[in-house]
Amino acid sequence: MFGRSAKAEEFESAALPYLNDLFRTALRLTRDRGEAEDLVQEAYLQAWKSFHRFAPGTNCRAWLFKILFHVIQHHRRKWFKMRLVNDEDERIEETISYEPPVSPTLSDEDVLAAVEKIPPHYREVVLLADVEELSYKEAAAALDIPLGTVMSRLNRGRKLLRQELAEFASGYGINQKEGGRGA
Amino acid sequence: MNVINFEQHNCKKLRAYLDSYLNNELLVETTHEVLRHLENCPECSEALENRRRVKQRLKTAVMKESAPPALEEKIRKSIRKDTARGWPVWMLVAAAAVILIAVGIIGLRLRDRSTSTRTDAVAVSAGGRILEVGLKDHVHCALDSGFANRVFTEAEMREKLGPEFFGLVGLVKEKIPGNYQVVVGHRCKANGRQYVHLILKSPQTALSLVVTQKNGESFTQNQVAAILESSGGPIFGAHMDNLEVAGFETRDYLAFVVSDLSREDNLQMAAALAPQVQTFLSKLSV
Repeated sequence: MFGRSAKAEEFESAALPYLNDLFRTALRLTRDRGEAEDLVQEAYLQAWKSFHRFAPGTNCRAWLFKILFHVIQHHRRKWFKMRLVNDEDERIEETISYEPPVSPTLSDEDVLAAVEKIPPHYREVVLLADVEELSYKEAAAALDIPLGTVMSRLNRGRKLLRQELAEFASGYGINQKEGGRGA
Repeated sequence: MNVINFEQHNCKKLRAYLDSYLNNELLVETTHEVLRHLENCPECSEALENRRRVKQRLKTAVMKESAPPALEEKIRKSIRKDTARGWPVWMLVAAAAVILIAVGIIGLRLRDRSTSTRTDAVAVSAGGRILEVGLKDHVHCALDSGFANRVFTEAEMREKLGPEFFGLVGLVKEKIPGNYQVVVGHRCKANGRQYVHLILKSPQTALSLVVTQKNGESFTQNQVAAILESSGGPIFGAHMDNLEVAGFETRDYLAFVVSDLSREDNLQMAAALAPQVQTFLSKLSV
């Protein structure tokens, strides 16, 4: 029993420093604090149960993200009303040709609202790569998708975010002067 | 090396590289080309600044959130609760079975000592590192030679295994958990020894089922790790080179399950496969 307690302490000191990283990612994906808390708690419990498989010296944070997304995958259908990604791809390709400037006057809440308007498949890649700064390889492992898919989703996700931010700005009457220049 | 040349006013082409430029992902030569274009193109410079701003704003906004202080304590509690729960019941049963078999083996040995001492001694010396036989093929073939990253079609497995051993693929598929699939089935050679080798993959790991003909060897009784409920036959086990090896045998064959799973998970997998694999191998003539 002593051995398991020592292992639990080892796990907690290795994994708990990344609690905020996991929580804010889960929160941006679920848009619900209670749900994000439940998912993160479940992810930590699963991580603890498979801690014997974690190779010391490898990236614990990336490993935890992988487990978190595994947990999210199981819960996903409950709260994502997803369209097929291919349909979404088409829509983006058709509509984004202009690169609208993002106003510095937007609040953090506006930015978060814009992030949450991006379809989940793109949102999760943007969060992992641009906020949590995981490498493409780590993001691919966390999401269990090919590297090329990470790159294409990231590209489209960033474009969508810029578009959403510009729409927020124009809703406030900002950025009305720019025209539809090709990009 | 392909260097991208962004001709003047080729803004559309350059925009595709702006994010990579922002993240320092471009080749030095391409970076120079981007810089050269930016010097002469205020629109693209503005677009770059815009993307930089979006990235920064996104990061700042998302990172403002942090986990509620109570969550850390909730997680610690759930881990402690799981720790306090101790070992699962099936592990206790397995431990009890191991003790029972150990007692049985000692009894048998005492009984047989007068008649077969010499045979016993040969088996022990030949079988001391016998679990390594399976480990070596997994390391050589699945890991070092990269077969764990390949996926064979059923037709390829039939061809490479031959009609004699292809039947193993079907019976293994029936017994493995739903998140595993048989990706490779072939015959291979490592350290001068012939093997029949199946590689099973789950999203988390790769596992080998390795079969080889006996060469006068047998597992040693001090490596018994569990007892099969169905037949009462032993499964042998050891932890070597950061991998778990479980072994079982028939009259003519040794079979191994090798993976980086935990000891109990690897043993469970071996226990799930052993009865059918043993029946299959027993029907083969050497």
